[in-house]
Amino acid sequence: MSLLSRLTSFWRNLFSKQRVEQDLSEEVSAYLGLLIESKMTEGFDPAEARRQALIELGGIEQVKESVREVRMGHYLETLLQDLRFAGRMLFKHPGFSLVAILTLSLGIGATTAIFSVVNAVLLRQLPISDPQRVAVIHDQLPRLNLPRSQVSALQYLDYSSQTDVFESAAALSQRGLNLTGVDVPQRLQTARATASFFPLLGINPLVGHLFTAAEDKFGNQHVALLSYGTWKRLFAADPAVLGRSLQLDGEGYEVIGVIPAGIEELYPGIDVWIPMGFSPRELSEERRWSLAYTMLARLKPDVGFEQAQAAMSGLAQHVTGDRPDDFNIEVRPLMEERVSDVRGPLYILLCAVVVVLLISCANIANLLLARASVRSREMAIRAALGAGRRRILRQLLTESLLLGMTGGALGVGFAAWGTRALIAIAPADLPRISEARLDARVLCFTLVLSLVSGIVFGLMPALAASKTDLVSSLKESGRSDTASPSRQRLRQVLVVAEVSLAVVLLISAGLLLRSFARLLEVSPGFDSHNVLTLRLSLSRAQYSDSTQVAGFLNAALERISATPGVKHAAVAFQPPFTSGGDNSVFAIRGRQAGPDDPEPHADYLYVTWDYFRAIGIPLLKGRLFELSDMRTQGPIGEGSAIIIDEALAKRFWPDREPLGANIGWGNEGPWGTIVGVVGTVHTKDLIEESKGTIYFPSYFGSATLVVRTADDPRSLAETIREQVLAVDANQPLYDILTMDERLAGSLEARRFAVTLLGVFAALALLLAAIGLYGVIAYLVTQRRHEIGIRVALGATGVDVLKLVLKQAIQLALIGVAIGLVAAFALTRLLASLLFGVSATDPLTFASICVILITVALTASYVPARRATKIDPMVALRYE
Amino acid sequence: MKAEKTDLLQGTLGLLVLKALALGPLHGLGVSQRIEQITRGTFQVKPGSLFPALHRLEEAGWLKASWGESENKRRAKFYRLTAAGRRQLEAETQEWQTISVAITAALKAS
Repeated sequence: MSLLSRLTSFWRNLFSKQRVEQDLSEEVSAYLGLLIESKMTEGFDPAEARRQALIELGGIEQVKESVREVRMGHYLETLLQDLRFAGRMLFKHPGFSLVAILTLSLGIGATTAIFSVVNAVLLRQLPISDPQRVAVIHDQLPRLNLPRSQVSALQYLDYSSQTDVFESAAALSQRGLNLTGVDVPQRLQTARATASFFPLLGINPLVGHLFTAAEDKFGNQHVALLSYGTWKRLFAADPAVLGRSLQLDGEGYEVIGVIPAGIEELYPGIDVWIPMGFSPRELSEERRWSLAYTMLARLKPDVGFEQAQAAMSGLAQHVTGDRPDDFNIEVRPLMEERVSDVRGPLYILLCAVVVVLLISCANIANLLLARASVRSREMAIRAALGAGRRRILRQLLTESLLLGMTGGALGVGFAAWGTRALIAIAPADLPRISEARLDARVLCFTLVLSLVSGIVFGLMPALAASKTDLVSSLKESGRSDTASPSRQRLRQVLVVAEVSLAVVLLISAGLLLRSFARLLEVSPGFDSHNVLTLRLSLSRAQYSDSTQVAGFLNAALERISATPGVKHAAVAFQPPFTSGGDNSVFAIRGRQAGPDDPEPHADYLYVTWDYFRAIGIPLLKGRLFELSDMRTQGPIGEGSAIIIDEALAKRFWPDREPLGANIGWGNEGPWGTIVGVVGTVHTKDLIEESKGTIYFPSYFGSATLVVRTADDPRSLAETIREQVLAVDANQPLYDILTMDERLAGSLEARRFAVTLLGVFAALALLLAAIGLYGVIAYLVTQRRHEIGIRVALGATGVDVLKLVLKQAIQLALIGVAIGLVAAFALTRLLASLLFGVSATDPLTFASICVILITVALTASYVPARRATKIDPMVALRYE
Repeated sequence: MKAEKTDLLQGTLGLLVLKALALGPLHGLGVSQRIEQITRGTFQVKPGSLFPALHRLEEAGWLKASWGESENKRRAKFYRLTAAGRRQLEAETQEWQTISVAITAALKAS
């Protein structure tokens, strides 16, 4: 076939359409004329010849349509035609179009916004080379309650050298350092990294060079790489920064390069990178279990994660010998490490929002079905004019796809706004959330979503509408909509589906909301109101010995306590809701351990004497610390004062007096004496209480100031900073928050999920109510004749009301029942997000049912009222 | 039965139209009459199939259409083979013969 000929035809068909059409008409009628003539020569009279010819032709319009279908560009032409027509239909019914497009764009917009977050957080590649082969190596020490811990320096060296599964390995440890020699002393977050760290990730410096192996040696490591943010903030992105010197904790570091901003996605908040340069002390055998380093490894190209895991487990066997349950080494994909905590909740939110979208699709399908009834005559005429069923289907689907695409386009607008809103309310610890945006992948997702929704809500009504019975439709004179029973049933099925989906969402949201309310009722174990917390870290160079630390802290505390408005001030390492705290094994004097008894294990805290009053932990027994209890040389001395919390007292002295008992780090002493028992507190979230805490009256150089004030603690922040600077002008204070803010922060992630799920559930309820209203209103119109007869025969308004509401209630009840069963099966997926509420909490389930049935009644009451107003005379005359 | 016959028609209609026109230009009705004649009445091409076929072949450049007058002085659209159409006819004829021989052989095989 010649291409030229095809192209000319294509051109002619599209652009000289009128001529082509006229030509076709003439050709067909000429054919008909010839046919009649030939019939006449066969001996028929003219009228019969014409009849015969017409029968043989099989309909002029049908023949013409069949020619059009084989024409070049036919597809494009009908598409344009359909689109034009679809556009006209949308404009002709602005009410319908507006409702449908708005509903849809809200659904698509919300789904797109959530997907943009899912994309940024879970799907997007990490900005490093070949991230699938990078693993994080953990020690697993279940008996010490460390299911996943960092590793020690010696372990890092062993793990990387004693197996052959890794291409390279790197270690990283973070700590804060004080930057001085600038206008305002400030705290910089610093990471020590081995020279292999950046090459392992495939990160190249923006300016300068990375650490060399020589710089990664103890004693040589006084060089620094700046983060992109620090470079801009401190040096205005000046390339001449190379060679400048930074004073960190009193030591000089020469700037040798700048790391690109991409690393932020992986290790956010690090200002300065310095070489690891393990010290001999870090590598000493006694530090073998000092688990303070993050270990990264890149697997060899031909090594899978199972193989690497097997190799490391083998290595762990050597360490543990005959007690393999005590220790293992885990090889965990880097991406898993970053997102495993948030994956579940995010996917739950995505599911929830897709459910909302489905409900809006069901609503639009319902509207389309109602319209299909009205348009059955139009469809019959189309069929009579030669349109095949597929042709009609295609036109109807084009209409719904146009709806879908318009909704999608508008939805992108909503999504742009929604994504920004999500970033604003997202919990701070949601990794990479700030990267959420409408990128190509998200837009593709939206496009597919719009097309699929167009098909989802359009296909069923289109199938129903195109299945028109030609003769009866034309006979019906198209006045009343004569929906077939099957079409009515379809609408009811859709509403039932909407209601049940809404029930599932509402129950999920209800369970989360109740969990949240339960959490808010939980007391942290201390009085968090009117408490300000400020972190400070004394530089080790300047405060090398503990009397200096004690001197500084005492001076600062004395000044702060004397400030008007301050009631109590103390220092602790680390108070609840700051950065985790520490735990350790310890010994109880005279305790007979059973053979399989683990060593006693507890959280511990170094606090200054007034800590309990400052943070508001109640004393239950014995006494609190006094100034004279404070120790400068180690937390425990022979007979030094120790306070424990109630949880520890209950665990180890269930039926004896803990006061006066002796505690030490190890069995060789020295032994301190328990002088008091205080209330148990929550340390990092409101879900879990401490399993036991020991308080030592000791100073610590890296600590948090805890200040109880008479009223608004925020207002005192500056005064307190001045008092500290008055003691040491080079001492930065950072991370200044009230205790209430820290508590709220620990609930951020939950608040985020609850808010979103609540919004989605409310939307679902609203949409389901609209759907129910639509169907009931439609049924009332359908039955007005019947209702008119009933009224004429003596039915009262109440009877009619009952009649209509009964139908609504039936639909709602079926929906609720299905929803309950589905929720019962699905809510257990939420179990990890629940607190103090079971996944099948009867109260939630029951109240959601009541809410839904109430809403269903309200939604159908309006059309039911309208039904009672039906005038029998009008209704009867109407037919 | 009916469906199978239609299938056969669709596959061979183009070839038959080309063949019918090989002897000289014809109008639409003439084409269908010629086909009926040369197939000894086996194929009666209805307008619903004939017109799409004619237009398809024309768009492919194998036929050329022009308005003319019938034997009885009626205006009618005449189709004639183009050079490309003649080549196509030859090619399709050969192809058809190959297939026909093969199928006949296949059906005879026991």
